[in-house]
Amino acid sequence: MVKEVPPVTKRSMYFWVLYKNKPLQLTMITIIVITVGMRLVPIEMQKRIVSDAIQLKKVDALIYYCIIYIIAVFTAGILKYAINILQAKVGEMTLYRIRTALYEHILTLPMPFFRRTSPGLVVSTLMTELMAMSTFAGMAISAPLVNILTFFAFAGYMLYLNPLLAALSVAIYPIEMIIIPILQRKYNLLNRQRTQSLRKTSSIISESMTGIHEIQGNCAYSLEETKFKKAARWLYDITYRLQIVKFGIKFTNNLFQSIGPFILFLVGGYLAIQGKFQLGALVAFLSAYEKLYDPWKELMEFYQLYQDCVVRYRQVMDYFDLLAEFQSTPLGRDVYRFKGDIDLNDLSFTIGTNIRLLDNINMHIKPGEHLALVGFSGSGKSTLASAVGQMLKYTGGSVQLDGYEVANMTKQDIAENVGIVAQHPFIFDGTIRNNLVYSSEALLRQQGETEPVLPDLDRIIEVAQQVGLFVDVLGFGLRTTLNKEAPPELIESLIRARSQFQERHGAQLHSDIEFFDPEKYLQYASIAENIVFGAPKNENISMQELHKQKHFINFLIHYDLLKPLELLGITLATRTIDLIQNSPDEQELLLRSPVPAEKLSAYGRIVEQLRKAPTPESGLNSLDEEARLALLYLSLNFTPSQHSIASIPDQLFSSIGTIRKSFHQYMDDNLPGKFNAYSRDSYVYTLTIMDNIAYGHIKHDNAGAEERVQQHINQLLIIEGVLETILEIGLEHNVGNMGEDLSGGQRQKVALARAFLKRPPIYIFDEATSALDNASQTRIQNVMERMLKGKATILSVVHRLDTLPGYDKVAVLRSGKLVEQGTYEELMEKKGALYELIHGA
Amino acid sequence: MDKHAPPCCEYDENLDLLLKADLFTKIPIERLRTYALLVKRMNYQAGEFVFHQGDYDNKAYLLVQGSLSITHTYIDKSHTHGTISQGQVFGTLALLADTERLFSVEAIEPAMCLILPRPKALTEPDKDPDSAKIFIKIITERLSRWEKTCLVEAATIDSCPCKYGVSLI
Repeated sequence: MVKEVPPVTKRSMYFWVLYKNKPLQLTMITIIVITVGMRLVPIEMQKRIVSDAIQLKKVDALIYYCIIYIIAVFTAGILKYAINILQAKVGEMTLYRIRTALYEHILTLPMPFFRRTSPGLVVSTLMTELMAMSTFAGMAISAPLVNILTFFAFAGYMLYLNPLLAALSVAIYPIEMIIIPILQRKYNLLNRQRTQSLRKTSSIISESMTGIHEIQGNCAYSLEETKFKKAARWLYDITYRLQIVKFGIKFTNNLFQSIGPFILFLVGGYLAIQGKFQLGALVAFLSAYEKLYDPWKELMEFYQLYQDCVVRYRQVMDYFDLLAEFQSTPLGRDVYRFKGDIDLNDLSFTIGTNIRLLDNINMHIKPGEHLALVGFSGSGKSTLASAVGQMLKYTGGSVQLDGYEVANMTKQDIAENVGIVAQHPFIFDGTIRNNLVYSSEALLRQQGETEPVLPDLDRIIEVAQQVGLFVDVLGFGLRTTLNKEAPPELIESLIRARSQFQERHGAQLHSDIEFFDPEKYLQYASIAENIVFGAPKNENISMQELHKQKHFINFLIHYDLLKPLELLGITLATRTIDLIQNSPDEQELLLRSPVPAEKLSAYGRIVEQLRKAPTPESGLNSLDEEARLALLYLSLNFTPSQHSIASIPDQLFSSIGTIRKSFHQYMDDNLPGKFNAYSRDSYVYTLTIMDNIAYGHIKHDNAGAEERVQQHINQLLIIEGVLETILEIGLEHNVGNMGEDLSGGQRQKVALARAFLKRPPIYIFDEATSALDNASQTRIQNVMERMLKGKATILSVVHRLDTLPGYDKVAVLRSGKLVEQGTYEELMEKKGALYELIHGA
Repeated sequence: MDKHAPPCCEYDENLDLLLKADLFTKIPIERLRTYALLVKRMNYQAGEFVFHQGDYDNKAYLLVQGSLSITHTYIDKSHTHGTISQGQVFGTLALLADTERLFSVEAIEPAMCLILPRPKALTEPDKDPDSAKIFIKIITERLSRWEKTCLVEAATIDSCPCKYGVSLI
């Protein structure tokens, strides 16, 4: 019979110590017993070396005992190492199990929990406060066992050497065993208070950081300081008292420990003088007594760790000890599969004392029917959508899907049957593909698939086209820089596409692309790219880091370019630092200058030094080599079209214009095979796919240039048969933390595609297309009408009233009440609430 | 190799343009200097749209070169409501909050605009409250001035489209 596992927040600490760890714990116990035996051997050998070998002057016995001694010490050391490894394994594995089980539990907690709890607090509770559990779990069985056994082994050995002396030596321990727990109880109480105080103080900091606008706006520094000081003072008081008790425990331990040798010297010395006790035995006795202290000390430390963990563990578990509002998976039945009927009867949702956000709403949506929810802000549209999508627990009435009550369904039932798209969808860190298949993957994993078969590329492409994401994904693919491991056939296709592109569109796209022309200075390229007019062959050489290449600098010196470039670097650094100082737009300004954000302070110091000099030239001479290289970095990476902060001086402009051929000649002589000049026949791995095909840089300051170029490139990719490959590359684009690389519209398209890929019978859209442009909104509207009408039920909170005629029914909410519903035509004819809403009368 | 002179410093030109624009006359020079770096230039071919009716926007525009037309479409009927001329700043309401464009603006000849992003003073007013106040005052004054003109027109022209005063909203 399978033993039922208690809920995660109700499990004891020792549950985790044993949970799936029994074989490892047993192995550890076996090793511990052997180790304890091994620890006695060196002490016995000490006695024999002094009494049987040194005193009797037996060299062979001395060597024999010394060898046994060293073998025992070595073996005990190795066994101790093995115990430590096992402790680490058990400890870390246990921490992993607690964290994963608790994380799984946290994800299911009711939404109100997340509204009142800051994410930072959940993170620190789950990550920091549980860390001590790792040490505890590793030591929970081994530490008491090894130390108690060692303690008794040494105590027994001492008893064997001299019962009287042994009894006197260990007599102090029972006294300690009475005093220490009293102090420890006090310590635990303070420790609990410290954790509470720490949380309160952290919460004040977190709150003030989040509400810093309000604080600064109200000049509430003094008010906030008072709050913080009060909490911090409380923390100080408790921590100080905690330290006093902690050191009190240490002091008690040390005091009692020091009394031991005093008794030994006095009584043992007297017995030795009287000839009643061998000198060797006294040495062994002293050694054993010293070793007796180690296990005792470790036991005390473990005891403190245990007590500390009890406090922390219980507080963590109590903090998350809430029940999930809805069960995750159905028990004893299959997941429901609905046709899409939605029925609301007297649906109400009340908060606070009696604030009704939804007030007795009755509504019926047949399978395949599309209903638009409209109303003024705060009318309850999103709340209603959330109630149907089980995102909140309604307080009255019922919501039924195909006759089943939503409140009684599991999360899996909802996930299987409902696709929810919010106005501000969350995008996870990862690739576009990961985000697109998120809902499908989640569902399959919830169904128990460990290696789920996710929607294939064809299906992803189909949906990406439906929501208008196809061109965006292709754009990400085209803006990718390939590495040299890219398939040669792809590279060949791209070079062919380049040639076709020039032939077909070269002439008409002159205003959109700055083509690579060896006779022309490239405004859309950096100075480094203009000099090299090509790319490093060797992947170890970076175009951005050419200032670190000795031969490159020698080339600049040879052609009198170094100093003018450094002077341009001075202009760039000085202007940037001047503008950034005291400006609230620091990050945005840095994007318009080649100064890297992380080196801002270093450039600040350089500019400070330059300001002391009467002229830029003398300032340059006063700088060290590192600073001069930093200035060279700026000028080499200066791109006129991107960095509007300065312009290239005339002389430098004309010098750069004359040296491209000389550069390649110079490099061939000094660093052969390291650089390639741009050529129509070879792929450039430092450029994006788009720039490679265009054989130039897109003029981003020309409205619509990128779209026009991409449109022409797309046709060529189809001809070359690599469109899907580029699309796949685009799907692998990492969208960054919380999807920072995506625009608001792209996020909504991803969220819509995510829902469409799942193909649920019911869709709930909450202003799901609000960030899309007109064309994209129309496209989505068409998809909904053409492909989903009659096939999937839609409940959509609509913000654009011109899309209403496309819905089968319109429901108008006002202050949580359903004021009218019917077809668009009916309601407009009625000239009621909808008419009023549209005409604003 | 191209022997032409290098282009002038875009930043200096931008600053000059901003200093001349009436919208920025009351903005402190140190803020205008950073703003001159934040603005972006955009070239439009004839027929290219600066923005479409119905788009949500958060930027304003300064027409530097060329000419732009303003059109409004209602149920498949398009009406042109005049043109924007060089040096004119338009779309400033979007600097206060994301605003739905009620008109489409299209280049009728090759044009170049400075795109003015919403200044930090208006995205995070607490960081630069003085500039925020100035910006809000400037935009409010523009609205008020626009209505004054409209009211004068209403008094003199029979077909003025003004139904309600914007300052009464």
